[in-house]
Amino acid sequence: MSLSEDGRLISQIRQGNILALEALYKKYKGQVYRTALAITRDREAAEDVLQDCFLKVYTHVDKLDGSLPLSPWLHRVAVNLSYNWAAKRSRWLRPLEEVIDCLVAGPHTLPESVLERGELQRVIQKAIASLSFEHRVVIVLFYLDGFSLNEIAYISDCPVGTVKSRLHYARRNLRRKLERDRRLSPEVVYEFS
Amino acid sequence: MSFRRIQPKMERQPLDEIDELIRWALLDSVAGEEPSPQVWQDIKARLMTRSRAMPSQSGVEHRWRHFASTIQACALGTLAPLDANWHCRLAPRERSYLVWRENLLLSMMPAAALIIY
Repeated sequence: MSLSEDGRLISQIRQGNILALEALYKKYKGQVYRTALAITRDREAAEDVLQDCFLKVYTHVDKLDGSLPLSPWLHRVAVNLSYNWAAKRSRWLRPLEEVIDCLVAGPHTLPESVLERGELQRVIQKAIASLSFEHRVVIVLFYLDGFSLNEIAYISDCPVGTVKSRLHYARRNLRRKLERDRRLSPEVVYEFS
Repeated sequence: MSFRRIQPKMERQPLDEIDELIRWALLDSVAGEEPSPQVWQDIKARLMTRSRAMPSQSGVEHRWRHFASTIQACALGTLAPLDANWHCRLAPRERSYLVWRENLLLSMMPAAALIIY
């Protein structure tokens, strides 16, 4: 489906055609849902975000430019909705989840040779989840969705320089967290003297 | 020339390994994840509820037309008796001016009605 196809669907939605909205939903539901899921780490929340996102497409369809790619706009809405969800979430719930994670996870000093694939994935996921919301959003949009820095700037509603800075610090924090868990072997740097 | 082993500097190191790990972990964590079919059903149901709750486009249009015609009727109903009253009081010359002005306004009425509708 091409870009002009999105434009055609948008103009049909403007006339109240729900079938056109369904076609648009089928095209983008997976991408938007997986992004929301990676940010919120909650299936129910991700489904709510997806639902509200497409309700907004219908209600704000007059503001949409059919000649521009729709994906960044959808992700911008999804990120805002995810942010609202995270803000509404009660503050005491997060530390409790972290305690449960630690109890379930056990010690973090196993040698890498005995690490299971799932275990390594869980460790990295935990490290990503421990990032601030803004850093997590940038990481998800950059690595999972493959958006450019300019697109992430539009989605996050901030300058490109801020996106670069967030990406840099998020990567650095992740590297430190993973090294602390001895999952990532630190590279050796040799200095000439 | 000698080699000295130092602690790695995170900022200056290439981030290939961490990039690959993050990408892999993120893709792996959401691989095969799909929203339940119920999500679309809920969207459709909410759109139906909303369209029933909100007046339709034709309903809004109908109300606007009704409002516009009421205003017109009120204006004519107020102006006509006033004009009749002035006709009695005014001198012939002034009265002819008033008649001319009324005719002008009446000729503009269809254009005004077209704009409103």
